[in-house]
Amino acid sequence: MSSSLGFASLIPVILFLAVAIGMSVLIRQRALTSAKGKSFVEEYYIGNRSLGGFVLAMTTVATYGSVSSFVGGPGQAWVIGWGWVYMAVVQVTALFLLYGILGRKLALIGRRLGAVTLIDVIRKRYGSDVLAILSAAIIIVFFATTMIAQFVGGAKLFESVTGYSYTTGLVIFGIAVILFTTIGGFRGVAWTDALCGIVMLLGLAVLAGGILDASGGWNACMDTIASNHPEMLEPLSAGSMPVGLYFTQWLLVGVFTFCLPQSAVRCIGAKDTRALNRAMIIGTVVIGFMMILATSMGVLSAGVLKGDLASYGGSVDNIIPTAIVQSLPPWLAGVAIIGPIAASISTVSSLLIASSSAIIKDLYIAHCEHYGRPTKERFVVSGGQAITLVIGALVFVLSLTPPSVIWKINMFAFGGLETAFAWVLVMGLFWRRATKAGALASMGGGVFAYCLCMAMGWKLFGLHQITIGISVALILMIVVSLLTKPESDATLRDFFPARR
Amino acid sequence: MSDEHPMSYDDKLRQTNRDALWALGALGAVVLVWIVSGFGLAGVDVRVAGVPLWVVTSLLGTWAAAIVAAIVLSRRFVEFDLEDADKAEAQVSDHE
Repeated sequence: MSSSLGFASLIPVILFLAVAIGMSVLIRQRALTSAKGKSFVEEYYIGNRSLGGFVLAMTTVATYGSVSSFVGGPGQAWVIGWGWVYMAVVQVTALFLLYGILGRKLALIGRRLGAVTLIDVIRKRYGSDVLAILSAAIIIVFFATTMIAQFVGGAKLFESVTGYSYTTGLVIFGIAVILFTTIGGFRGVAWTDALCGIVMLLGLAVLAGGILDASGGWNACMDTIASNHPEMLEPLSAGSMPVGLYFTQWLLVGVFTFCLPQSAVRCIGAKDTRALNRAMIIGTVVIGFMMILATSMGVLSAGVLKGDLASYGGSVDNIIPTAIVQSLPPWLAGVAIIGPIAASISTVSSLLIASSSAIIKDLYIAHCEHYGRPTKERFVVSGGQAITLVIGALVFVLSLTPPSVIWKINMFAFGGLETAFAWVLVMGLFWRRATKAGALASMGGGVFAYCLCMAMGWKLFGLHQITIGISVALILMIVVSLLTKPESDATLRDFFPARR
Repeated sequence: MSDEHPMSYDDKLRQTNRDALWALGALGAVVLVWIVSGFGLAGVDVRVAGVPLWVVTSLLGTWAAAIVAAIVLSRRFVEFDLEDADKAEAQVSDHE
């Protein structure tokens, strides 16, 4: 990087992180006084089901919007042009699909069952501990790799913009996010996510202003692009954005994102159906604004960064950091980077608390209940927080010198989670005949097929492997369910109305 | 809820099943808007503020369509009490 910006660019980030930690401390104190006598697990892992519409919307959008929405995606748009933004806009469907298909039914059933995690619901629906353990394992592995990738992405951006080292960046925001997640629990995560969502928008606005200013205004910027890269104005971008890619991106980042466990669990935390309805509208407005604006930043950067990719270090991940450095004064650059950093930590915090719940609630407490052993509340209280801290610390240490395989795993974590949970959730909630064996085959077989094809580079019709994973999972769910005995009426009672 | 006849748990389940179908329908509508406003207008040689027409229509159009879908859905999605009004009844039926 040509120039680094120094200490002035650190101040906004440090202020923001201090506010986030302060917020989670306050939330914890309030929760402790208001929730006396209620179970720790209900408060720490699902915030006593108290999220209103605005916080619910913002926490879902912030969890969903990751560092790649702010760095990798816009970097691609710098190469491809408006076609990449046209692709990114499919994400506007994520929120109404989440609240429309899963949200209301999950919130209703979650209360009836006293479910705290998504795996609680899956366990009860299929009456299977094995399926619950498999779900927890998949969540822990894929969440851990995603968290590392978020840390790495955030720290690299920090390094290239501020000029301070990668490790300094990671220490500053990594320790902050681990602390405020451990302290605040699910409720703290939801509220800090809302804060993150707001600063993500603020950071984007600053960056947009900077890029437009540096490129000589909107019209000059558009003229530069039209004369240097006319293909950036076509949806297929002269062949670098084929229709097949649009199709698989629709599946990967559009249609199936509502099945991601970190999104779905938020519905269980909703206060009431009014909150779900409001979150659906607010969330759709915010996610559209955020994704269109963030991805467009990459296109606009082509008005400032006119060299070829090799002159920016050969990686699209360098485009946005370079654009920030070249177009903004230090203190404003500091505001612009809290956008991507907030995107990174709001994803990490949600995955961290969900991983902790998978270990404490879905593995430890469930194990004790299975063998009829009492769980000590005191152990659960300290254990829950300790596990959150330990997972956070592990992820942090791995991010210091990230193993190269992490990138490969992270690239398919999104698709892997969708393959694992899509049909187990959708069929479980809406198809009576879905059975335990069908769900196990769908989750295990789908993820296996997906990972195998990813590892071997096998594709069908040149399409991304999500098409294979999701199809195999669907076929196995239907065929195996139909070959096995239906679940008993007692198991299905909480999920389906009595037949009329 | 102040209704004289609060929805039973089964009514609520039936309601959420219908809601899910509506959300799927909304997805179909948004996909259609996305195709028509993007690929459909890609051949039109008109610039709006220096940007091809299809870029403006597809980005703003798809976003607007999703917001309209969310508003329509929220009107369809009847509000009900998430707490179980007929838990007592449910416990009776559990003992059958």
